[in-house]
Amino acid sequence: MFEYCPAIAEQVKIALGDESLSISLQDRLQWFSCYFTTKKHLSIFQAAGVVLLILAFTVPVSLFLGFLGALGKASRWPVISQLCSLYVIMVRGIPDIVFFLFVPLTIEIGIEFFLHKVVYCRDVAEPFFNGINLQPCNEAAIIPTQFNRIVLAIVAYGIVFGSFAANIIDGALKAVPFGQRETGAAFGLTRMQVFRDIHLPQMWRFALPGFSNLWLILIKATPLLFLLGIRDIIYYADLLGKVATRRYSTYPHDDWKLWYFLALGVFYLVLTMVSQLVFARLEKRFNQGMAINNASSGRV
Amino acid sequence: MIPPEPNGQPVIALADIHKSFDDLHVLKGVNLTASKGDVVAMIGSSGSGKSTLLRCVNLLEVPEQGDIAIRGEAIAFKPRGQNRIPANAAQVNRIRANLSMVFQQFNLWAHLSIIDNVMLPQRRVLKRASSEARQRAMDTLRRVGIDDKAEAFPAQLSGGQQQRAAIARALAMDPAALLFDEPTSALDPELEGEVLRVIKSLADEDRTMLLVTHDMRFARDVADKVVFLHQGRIEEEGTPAELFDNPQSERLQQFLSASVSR
Repeated sequence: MFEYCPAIAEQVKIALGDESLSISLQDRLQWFSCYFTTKKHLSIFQAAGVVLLILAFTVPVSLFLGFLGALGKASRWPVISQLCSLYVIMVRGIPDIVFFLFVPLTIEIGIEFFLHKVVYCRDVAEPFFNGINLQPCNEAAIIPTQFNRIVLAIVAYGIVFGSFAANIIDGALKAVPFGQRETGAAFGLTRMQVFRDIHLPQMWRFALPGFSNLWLILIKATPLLFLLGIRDIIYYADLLGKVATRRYSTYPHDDWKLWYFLALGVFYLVLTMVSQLVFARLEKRFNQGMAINNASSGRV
Repeated sequence: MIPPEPNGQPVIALADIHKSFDDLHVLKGVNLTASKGDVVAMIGSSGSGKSTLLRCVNLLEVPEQGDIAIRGEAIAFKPRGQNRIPANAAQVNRIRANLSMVFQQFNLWAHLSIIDNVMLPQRRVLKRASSEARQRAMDTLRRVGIDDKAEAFPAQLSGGQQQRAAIARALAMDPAALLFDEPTSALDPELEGEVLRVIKSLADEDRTMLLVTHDMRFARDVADKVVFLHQGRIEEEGTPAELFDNPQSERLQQFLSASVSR
């Protein structure tokens, strides 16, 4: 990465093999600056970026699905309300890890099936399912690139956490005192206006503790990404922490797994601590005007 | 400020209103009219149906039988299951915009400051521009004497101040009629006075008002007409002097003597 790297790498390598030579602090620091910027090592930073990226995209997706589920549950049409109720309650009974294995798989098969049957291979004689294997034709097969896997991960996390979110939103919407909404109606606001101007803004404070909890669960669920074949930070921590011998690597070191996993712990801890701060702010923002024991406005 | 009434129709006209909650028959055929400038007080013991009747006027409760006409415009209904619902949501909202309600529990929107509370329905329902709504809000807040609390949140105000803010919110809509649902029942006795004074001053300026109250002295003081409800029917109605000084029915006599002794 830096110009001085080949020289310093060589110098340290020699020093490690010769006990009479010592390495100055400045050399050590330079060595680390090179070590951390090797192509191989940059991939762990990239993986950390991928985790943050997936988190960032999962939140809006699951919020969207959460609202869809919670509002759909109250729908007048039985089909919609029952489907949404199923979506809302399914998280209660099924372990997350089953979802993480099930959802991406079904989505993948679903898309392949759709592409196979409808888009590309309507004329192909071989069946999609030959009794043992799923056989999408070449055009319909999803190539498991890193990008595709990340998209799949976001969709999977979005669906699973959307279901959790739907649960939270459903409860929070019901927690807003009815009188607050009724008053909106009494003044001639439309249902949409009551929802947007009264119900929704008052819902957040009831939903926030649940969301805060859910966000922490989501952060802690990111190590499950390996289930989807994404090389995540844990994979790289394990890989980079392994002993690097003088013989085979430019930057030899002992078994540093301990340090790598410690760094991972710190990474997650910092992430959760920053989130706590953000949530504390949001809570303050949404509790504005709401006396603690006075949620129903004016009930003294 | 108070809109004129088209062709002399009563502002509020209810005919043969029936309302049940499950098996409980709360209103059993009530007629009520309020012409422009009328202040009608509804009295009666708990469960007599007076609040339900008030809530039927702006269709917070939908009566299963009977006709409602606001300023001559009859509300259209359509059947829904065993019952009926208003046929036209836009009509209901238009009518509600003309009948501002003041609730027993104030029901100020807790997440909005006082000024925003007063501005919200003006902005959304009357589509007033922000500056106009703010101007009107400040006018009405000054009118009820809490313009200095405009930026406060409801929870920071006393009950009396909250109820005055709720009245300001109702006034700012420039409604054809004001509906008061036991406006002082949730207040401590020492806070009642400030709210009653505001309502009295409104009654004195020829506004049409429907008022449900437990306060007999107040009913006598502000009302042009008093209606006594008993078990879902109007037992007696007339001027305050007729009802309070010379009650005809035994029910009303009992009710009044119980109220006084309380």
